[in-house]
Amino acid sequence: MSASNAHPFGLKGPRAFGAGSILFEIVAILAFALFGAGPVIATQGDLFEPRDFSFPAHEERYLRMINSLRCLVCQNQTIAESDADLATDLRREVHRMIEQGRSDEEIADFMTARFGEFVLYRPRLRSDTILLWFGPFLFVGAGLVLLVLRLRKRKDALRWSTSGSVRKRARRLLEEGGVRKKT
Amino acid sequence: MIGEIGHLAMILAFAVCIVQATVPLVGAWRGNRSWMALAIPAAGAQFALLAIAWLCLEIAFVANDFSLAYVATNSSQDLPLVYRISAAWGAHEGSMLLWMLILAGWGFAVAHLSGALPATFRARVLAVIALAGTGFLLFMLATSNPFERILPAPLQGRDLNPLLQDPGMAAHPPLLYMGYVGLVVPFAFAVAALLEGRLDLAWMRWTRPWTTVAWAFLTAGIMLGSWWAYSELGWGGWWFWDPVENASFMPWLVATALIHSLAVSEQRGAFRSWTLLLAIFGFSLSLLGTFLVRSGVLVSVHAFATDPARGVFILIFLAVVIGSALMLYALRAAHFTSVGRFDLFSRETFLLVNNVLLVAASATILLGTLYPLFLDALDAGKISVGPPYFNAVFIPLTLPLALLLGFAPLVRWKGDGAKRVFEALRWPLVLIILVGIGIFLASPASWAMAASSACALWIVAGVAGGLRDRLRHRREGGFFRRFQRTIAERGFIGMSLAHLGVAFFIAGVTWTSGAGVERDVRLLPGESVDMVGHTFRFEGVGPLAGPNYRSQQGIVQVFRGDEPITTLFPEKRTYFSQLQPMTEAGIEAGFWRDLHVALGEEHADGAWTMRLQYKPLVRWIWLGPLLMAIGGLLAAGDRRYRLSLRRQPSPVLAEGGSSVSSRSLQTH
Repeated sequence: MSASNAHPFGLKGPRAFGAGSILFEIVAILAFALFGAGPVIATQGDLFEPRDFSFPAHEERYLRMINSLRCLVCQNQTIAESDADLATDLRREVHRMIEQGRSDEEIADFMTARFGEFVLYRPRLRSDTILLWFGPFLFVGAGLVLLVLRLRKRKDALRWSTSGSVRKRARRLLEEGGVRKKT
Repeated sequence: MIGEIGHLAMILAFAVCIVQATVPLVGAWRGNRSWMALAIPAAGAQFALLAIAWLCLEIAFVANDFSLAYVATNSSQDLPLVYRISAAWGAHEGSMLLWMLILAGWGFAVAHLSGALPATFRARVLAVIALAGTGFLLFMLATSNPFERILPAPLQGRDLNPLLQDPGMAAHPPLLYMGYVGLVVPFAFAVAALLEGRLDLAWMRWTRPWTTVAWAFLTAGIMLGSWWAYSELGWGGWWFWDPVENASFMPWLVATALIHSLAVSEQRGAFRSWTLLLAIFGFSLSLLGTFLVRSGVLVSVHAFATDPARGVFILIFLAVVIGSALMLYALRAAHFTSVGRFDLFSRETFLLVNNVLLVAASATILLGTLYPLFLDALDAGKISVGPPYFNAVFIPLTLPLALLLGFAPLVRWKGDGAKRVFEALRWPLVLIILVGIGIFLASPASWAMAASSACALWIVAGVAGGLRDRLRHRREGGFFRRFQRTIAERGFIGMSLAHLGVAFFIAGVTWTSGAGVERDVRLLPGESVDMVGHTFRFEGVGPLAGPNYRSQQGIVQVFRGDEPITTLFPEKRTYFSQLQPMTEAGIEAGFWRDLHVALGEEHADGAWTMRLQYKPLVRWIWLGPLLMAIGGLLAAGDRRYRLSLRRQPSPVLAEGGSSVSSRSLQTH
């Protein structure tokens, strides 16, 4: 939302990056210097700047890319949603790279080389994100296995408890219980 | 003066809360009836005191009493009256007071509608609700007092966050909190049952409508939040997987699992310990959400004023509540074994599979939300987990739920033949597959969209099949009489409506995201552009003065052919309180599609950039949850809950399948 960048860098306070890391402030300022120093900078980015694409597939990829890159100077927004200058510049950069025929992976590399993995809203599958990507399926799998085990155990228990001798024993216990209640 | 009265009322409420949380608990333990009965007037007093505190805050807002720091930061003299009233819950302190008021309201309602419950159980339920309240009141008094003064008082307030100046946002928090806080009732019920060491069917039946009502409010609250985001944030999105949204979605998923598992427990006596665990998780997640939103550990666009001291307090509170409830559960749950017998192919089993999927979905959101925090804490680098991740993992998780929803409600309790169910749904299944192929061939839909649409139809077929089964089941009278009787079964009708809601929601999401068209254009006044059979003509931009903002209002005429359909008025508003302009989209809403125009920037030559959007079936995204909420409220009003209130509690259902005297069930 537009309200998040009243400050030129959209920084509301030292906690604007969650952990309040100075590193990210530096990165953001560097980024601003890197992309924002050109002569064509409006005071405010234009969220709806129209772009031409040489192929419809490019537009699709462009939309997918800008919707999966984080605007580093915003609270928690993609560069597709932010009118911060940095986001505007990154959108322009993504558009340029797609039109140059670069792949999604190359664009992601370009971004992470400058801003770190933090810029990707869709974390790459690496050793430290394995749990993140496979966790959900692990949850379902473990849940279903537990469920099946429980149901089987129940079935056995019920079969066992309905056998004759057990029933007799249960009845005897019940009667004893009844006696105890009266006393 | 008004601030001090409010503050005093809060302190008194805190005192009453401590009494309500302790005396009845001791009374229930020692068997002292008058101590137990104290919970009922205490619940009333607490509610009355918090209502006074709330009234004081509202008076301060309406009267522009800027000597209260909270009023001064969240209101202004120019703010319209409606938004001055809603500004009371527009930021952290006030929304906590509303939260607390609603908690006391639920407590009050429980106190007066639980006459049929045994005295010890009733006392324990009310005491547990008050325990939660004690924590929150202490939190407010210690860290977030809305009645704090500032001296000297400023002449003008800093105004309410412009984003919140919207009817949807005014109604969203109260509804959401009704749901969040309402989950305290099943939680208190579960903890009381664990303390009691026994659990009979009548109590299960008693807690069901409460849970359903809380769930319905939560559904409606989340829906309103999404609708607000769509109309206010300006770019036509309706869900962003933001931590604050996730914080409300996690308890919703668990509450959804809970209302389904309560059905098994109440109707069939099975899996009662699981139901208790879900009840504990539901409220725990709503507490966790509060922590995440208000502590500042997560970055979110929904910027609540954050403060580390608050975070630490809530974290400790969270640990105490969840830890003690789970400990109690670990100690006592083994006593609640299931009694109902059922086959593998039975409604019970499918409801449990539903539970597994919903809980896994909720755990997934928790994982995605907390994962960056864990990595950061381990110094393993910073990553972001956002919409592309959640969309990628969430759809495969929920797809089986939709497939299940089509046939599982038709499966009978206890045991059923897979063959019977298949035969009942054979022709609808064939028809739906054909329709799905038809959609794929005849429309621009991709195969995934066609499959997803078929899924929605599959759910509709399941609902229709359920209705048919019900009608056939009734032997007496003609069709109309049977139909009337079936309609009168509110539980069944509510369930069917809610399930239809899921179908609407799936269709809405599928078509909006799959077939929606979005175009950024740059137009001079008088120029027009064609999109999806509509012509959008930009007439120009004019100034507009609001009560506390200046606006530039665009005029966009929409034609189909030569026939004018509508005129849209997208705005760019600049509120006096902040420099940054806000977009206010111009939307033509329709059952089948929305036309959405948002204004961008003005360029030197007088041209404006704007985003035009065509969003098919987007209203269904909110229509679905609306049907779910209505269905929930209907189901909660089912006749048998009212009957069971009047009847004496049914005989205790024995543990382990035999009927034993109630005395021997107590675990102490």
